[in-house]
Amino acid sequence: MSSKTAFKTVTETGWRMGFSALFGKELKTWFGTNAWWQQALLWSLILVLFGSVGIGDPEAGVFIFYMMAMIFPGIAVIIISQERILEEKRSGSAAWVLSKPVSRTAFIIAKLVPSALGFCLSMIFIPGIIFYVVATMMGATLLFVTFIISLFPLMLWQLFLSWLTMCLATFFNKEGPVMAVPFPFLFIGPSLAQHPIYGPLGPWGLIMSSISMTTGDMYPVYPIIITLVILLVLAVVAVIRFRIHEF
Amino acid sequence: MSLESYVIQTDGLGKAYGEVRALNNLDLKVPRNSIFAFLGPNGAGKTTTIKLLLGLARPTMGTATVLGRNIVTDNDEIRRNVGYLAQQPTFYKELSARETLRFAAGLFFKGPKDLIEERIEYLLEVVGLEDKADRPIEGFSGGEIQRLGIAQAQVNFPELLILDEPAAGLDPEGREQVLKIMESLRAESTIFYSTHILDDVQRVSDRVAILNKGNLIAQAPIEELLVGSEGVAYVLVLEGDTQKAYSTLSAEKWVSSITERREKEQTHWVVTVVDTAIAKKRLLRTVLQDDKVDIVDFGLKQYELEEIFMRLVEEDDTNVQ
Repeated sequence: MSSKTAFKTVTETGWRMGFSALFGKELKTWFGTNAWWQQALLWSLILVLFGSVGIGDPEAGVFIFYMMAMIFPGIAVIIISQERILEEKRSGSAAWVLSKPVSRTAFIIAKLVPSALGFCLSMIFIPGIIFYVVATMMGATLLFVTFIISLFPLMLWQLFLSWLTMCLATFFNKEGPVMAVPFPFLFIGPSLAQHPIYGPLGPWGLIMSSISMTTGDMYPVYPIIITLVILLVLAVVAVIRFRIHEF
Repeated sequence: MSLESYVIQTDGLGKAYGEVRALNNLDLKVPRNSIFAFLGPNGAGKTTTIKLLLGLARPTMGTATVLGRNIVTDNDEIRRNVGYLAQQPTFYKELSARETLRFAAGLFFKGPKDLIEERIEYLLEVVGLEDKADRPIEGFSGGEIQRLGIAQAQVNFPELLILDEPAAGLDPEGREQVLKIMESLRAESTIFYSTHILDDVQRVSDRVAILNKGNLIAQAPIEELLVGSEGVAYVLVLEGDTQKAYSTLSAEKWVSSITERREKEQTHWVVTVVDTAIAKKRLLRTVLQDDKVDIVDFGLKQYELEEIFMRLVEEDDTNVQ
């Protein structure tokens, strides 16, 4: 049996301690299992189905796609996100991992980023590509590059819901308070987005950014900038809160 | 014993959750290469202590070192050299036992891959999970999860293994397996484990600390603790008229007390002595001077840990009241 000295030890220190192993594990949870393609298939079917309502009016179909891509995957994003941290806190697996040389910052970032990649790819990007193909076949005139770029605000919206949920999960130990905040955003968001004053002042305005990209209308970029700032704040708050959490 | 000989040393360590004091002024010394049992009833503060040592909670009073490092300021380094098994170990249920060990190993080592796999294989063998290594742990029994927990705690060749109730909730067979594994790991690591199963403590431990309601009420090598707080005592079972022998023996300076109990035709004495050497020579002779007394049985009183434990806890409860 080899002794400890024969092994190359992990040299990550500070906030990066344990990050590589955790990041790899979280990526594998999404992309190394059937989860990514099952989610992609599910949301492709649902969003294309909704988008097909506008078969006689391709532009209406595109609008419906954006609207549905904002709301429905968001439900799954909130539910999956709350489990990511809450379940680990409650079951004890977080305490187990943190009893190893793992920084709490690395733990949180390794939850936020791989989930974000998974949500964006499986719930928005792949369904978006499939919708584009279907919509084009139905006669919609969409520029491919513009359409792909228009998916970016939708991804940011899902990231906002996901990171908000995960941030709340660092504060609370029950699903109720963790989901009570993001869900109202999800359902009020589409209406709020259309408000002339408040619409562009928050992440809810991202849908209008997406739509305006394909319609060529002018819409402020504020929602994108504001959301990026909010995402940063949510990540920082989640890290700070989790660093003082006691098991 | 030098400071370096203690792998865990706490100095007035305490933890309060608001008004509730979970741990008070704990002064614990765990010598290197020992199997140290941390004993106490449920809610005594054992798990709180372990969480403080591992940095999973912060102390509200006192200080402590693990492997010579401060638990607050140098916890990263502590966790590199410690293995930990939680009271109810929970791993990622989608992973197999092998993948769980691979994940745990990945937090310590980045290579060589073949050596990591060799280490995993070795640990699976030690805990007897080779046959189930590639099954998802979702279907594992409590005993298997516990054994996997010990294997993952050992993956980094820890100088110190901290096991929180390693045999709790297991059937007798599972308990036996866990105890055997602990004994087999004695040569590799110091083992600090919490438990409330007294039989296990007496069997595998070198030293014991007893915690009650957040207070340390005893800490000693197990043999010392088993002698009892009254000192060395002998048990005599007698027949006949013991009155005169009782008076003669009570008058001896080397006898500190005699507890008498009658059972049918027999009289049971527990004779506590202050000088073992004299007692060995003179105890029986003194009693046998009286020819009205027959000695049916004689021996050194063997305390059971349960007896000691219950007495200490009751005394502590009385003092607190």
